[in-house]
Amino acid sequence: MADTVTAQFEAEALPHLDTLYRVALRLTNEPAAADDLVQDTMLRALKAWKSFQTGSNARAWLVTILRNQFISGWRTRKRQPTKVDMDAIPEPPDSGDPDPEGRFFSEIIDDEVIRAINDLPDEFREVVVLSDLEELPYAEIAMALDIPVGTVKSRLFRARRILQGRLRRYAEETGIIPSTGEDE
Amino acid sequence: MTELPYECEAVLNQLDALRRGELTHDQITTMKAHMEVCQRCLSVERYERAFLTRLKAMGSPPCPDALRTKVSAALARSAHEA
Repeated sequence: MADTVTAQFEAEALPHLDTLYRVALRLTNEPAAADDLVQDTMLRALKAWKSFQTGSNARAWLVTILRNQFISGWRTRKRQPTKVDMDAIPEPPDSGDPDPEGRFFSEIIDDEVIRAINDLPDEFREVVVLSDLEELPYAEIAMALDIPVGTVKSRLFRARRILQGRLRRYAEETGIIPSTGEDE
Repeated sequence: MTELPYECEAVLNQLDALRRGELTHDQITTMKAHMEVCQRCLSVERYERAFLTRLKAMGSPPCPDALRTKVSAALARSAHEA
């Protein structure tokens, strides 16, 4: 009986391991910690399998469990995320911008992009990871994070502005684009 | 934040839906027509697209095989303990 349940669980859950691993990696920023978080998530999900309703969204359900595991057990072990000044979120580029179409983004190294994502507060980082890296639909993100779709959109809007501002500042500091002399 | 004209605000709010292929043919036509004459909205659309392209270019590392093996073993152990 247990084997049948496990087989059913594996058939639904294992196809989502790649997504779970990448989300865990971006939440923890440590491959070893991501491994442990994914493993904990799968064991927790197996125990809770009876509560999963067949036909509902297994990926969103698993992401919810992973996120809850992260919040309850993992987040406390890592540094506090950088505080974001909401009043300092930059506006989109204007006509005086030296690179209004964002060509500079392609010049920025991966490490800097990852650092900028990691510096986001958790509630912003998770929507960027789920939407812009994993390309989950808004409705699924809302389900996984237990927030309204409108909140997903507004967090995503703010998260992107923060990220874009930081990457732009990096591009200016490293001479990829001329400095506009404006602070974030 | 600078006050945007109503048409611009409507277009900028729909950029994600446009990229995700969630708009009707008429909505797409309306948005494209607006961006042909509105340099600011066109720039924002290209800026967003360049940004998202950069994020996607980081690649998507798959779950390592070693972790898959570990997870399968842990699930099997857990099933036998249950």
